[in-house]
Amino acid sequence: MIRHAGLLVCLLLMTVISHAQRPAFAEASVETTQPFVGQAVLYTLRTYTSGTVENSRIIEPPLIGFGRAAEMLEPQASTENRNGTLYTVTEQSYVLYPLRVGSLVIEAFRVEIPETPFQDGATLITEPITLDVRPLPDNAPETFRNAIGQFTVEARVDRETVRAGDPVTLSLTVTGSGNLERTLPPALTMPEDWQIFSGSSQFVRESSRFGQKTFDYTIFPAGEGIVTLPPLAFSAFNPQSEAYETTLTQPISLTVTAGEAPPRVEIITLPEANGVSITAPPELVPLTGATQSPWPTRWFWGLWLLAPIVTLVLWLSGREQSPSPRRNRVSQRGKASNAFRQLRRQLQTAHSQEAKNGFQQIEKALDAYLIAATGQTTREAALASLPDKPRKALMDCLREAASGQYAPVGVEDVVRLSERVLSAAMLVEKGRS
Amino acid sequence: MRRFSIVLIVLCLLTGITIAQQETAVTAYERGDYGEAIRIYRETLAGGISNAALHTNLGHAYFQAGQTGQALVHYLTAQQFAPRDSTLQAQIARVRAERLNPVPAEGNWLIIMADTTRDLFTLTELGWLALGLWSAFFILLGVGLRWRDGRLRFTLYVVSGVLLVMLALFGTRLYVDMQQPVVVVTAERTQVMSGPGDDYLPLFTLFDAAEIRVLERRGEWLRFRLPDDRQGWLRAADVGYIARSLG
Repeated sequence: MIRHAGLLVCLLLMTVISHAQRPAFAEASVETTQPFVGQAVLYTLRTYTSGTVENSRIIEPPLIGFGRAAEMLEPQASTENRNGTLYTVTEQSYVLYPLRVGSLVIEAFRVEIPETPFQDGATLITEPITLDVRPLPDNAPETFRNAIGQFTVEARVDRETVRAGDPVTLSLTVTGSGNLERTLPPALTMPEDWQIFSGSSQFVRESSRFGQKTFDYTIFPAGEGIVTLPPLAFSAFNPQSEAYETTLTQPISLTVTAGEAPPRVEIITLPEANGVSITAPPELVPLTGATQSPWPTRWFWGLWLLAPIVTLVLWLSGREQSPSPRRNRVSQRGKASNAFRQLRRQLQTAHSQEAKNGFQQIEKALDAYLIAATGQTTREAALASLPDKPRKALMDCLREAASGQYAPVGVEDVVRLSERVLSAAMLVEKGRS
Repeated sequence: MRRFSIVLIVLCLLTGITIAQQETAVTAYERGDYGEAIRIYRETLAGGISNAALHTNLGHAYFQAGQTGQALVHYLTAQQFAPRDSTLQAQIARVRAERLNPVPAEGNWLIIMADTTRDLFTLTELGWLALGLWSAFFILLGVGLRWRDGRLRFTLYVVSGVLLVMLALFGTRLYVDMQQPVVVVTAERTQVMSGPGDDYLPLFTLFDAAEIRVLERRGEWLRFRLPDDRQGWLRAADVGYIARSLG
């Protein structure tokens, strides 16, 4: 039992050690480093790791100068023995289309392997690959429509008997290896009185290299009898032979039975034009020597500021003429505190005067304070505008100040009255704050 | 014809265009010498005159001469001055119906919004409408603030709603006309490339009178966009610009 356990531990250790001795790496390759412009180039990225990695991420470079296939190819997994080491290989392929002639570089791809408790983190970087893109030869046939590769072509119709004026769908299917995804619809040559409209095209990728593209055309045959559609020509540039090759489809026979003439299909319906015939030459209009401008003039843009300025002026003028009650209260408060300070100064002045003059000074100072603090014009109105408590206190002070001018009073009476006046004024100030 | 000549004489006297020139152009057009009519009208254009009538007549002459691309350029220029002219609209629709490249539906909402008013108002008219509403909004606001009249509130809300719509229409039209101007293919056919040069991959072909919107210019090449969002590059010499001048 102990011997078996020890054997297992040794095997485990050997596995761990052997894994630790196999670093991961990535490499990239292309089918050809001298493609033609527009040719499909298969770029393959292989990641070699010591086991299956989880959540690895491929960071692609910008691929400037290349177009690429719309759909991603599925990654493939395999194993490979290299230099006596067994690797798990993950292969990701990209179909690229070089878009211009000259030297183009496929920059390095990066594979990021995150660190987990079961695998070490790593960033694997491939080498950049330089392609020398060649131009297509000049002698392209008229039927060449950007197809580069090796293809077979088949044409068929959805029905072999049709009434004149009824539509028939002609499907041209191109199968093979190349840049089918980017191939344009071939132009068809049909009898003169037939109408042909290009329809949709469908591309199906069968593997990284092979695919099939079907071009549909809607045909309106004319005439009557058995009509043979001429073979359709499909031209492609073969990168292997470096020459243009034209493939012809088999001719197709159509039986056209009697019917109405095919309608002219209008793409846009013309609007009514006041009874003017649309086939007659249009009438000239009398000329003027005026020069019109479709764009607003420069001073037009300045006018946009005028209305906001007028609004601002109206608003400001309204504020100045009728100040708001809130502002009135705030300014009144300011005036009141000034009045209180003035009152205090005058009361202090009263202390230094003779007693009877001091009382007179206090009465005058109190009158001035009442008018300034309340904003009224007379003593009675000012007192009436005050709350009960400060009003009574101030009225008492005024009575005493008035009677003290004719009574035997001393300086200490002036001081005492000043203090009472200040206390009463404080009540007024507190009521306003 | 006689009344037309009288009107012509009066207009020429008022505007300084020579009578002989105008009669020659009309005569050449009526006898089918469209090349001569085009030459005379282009001379008038080179003399600094630009208006709806001149561009319309140039468009007619080009159209009759079979140069539908050039015809469409001048018709669309005339449309900037006279968008509500039904004869002009009919002629534009005729050129669009007869061109080889079918027109897919526009997918960009900005351009759809800009084109909403193209058959109704010139850019200047739209601008003045927007300015009028803008002024009305601010004046109502100023009056309301000055005299604190709450009755104006509802009117202000309505005016501000209409103003927002008008600003959106005017703004999108201005932006689209400045940033993505329409040009018309005037060559019989032009090859669209994947980049600004002949060594790029050819993509597809555009024919005479195809309308495209220019996104960028690099030297002799223009990058453009079709209504279905396909983009490509073609030679600037193969297109005609719709004339516009900042007043």
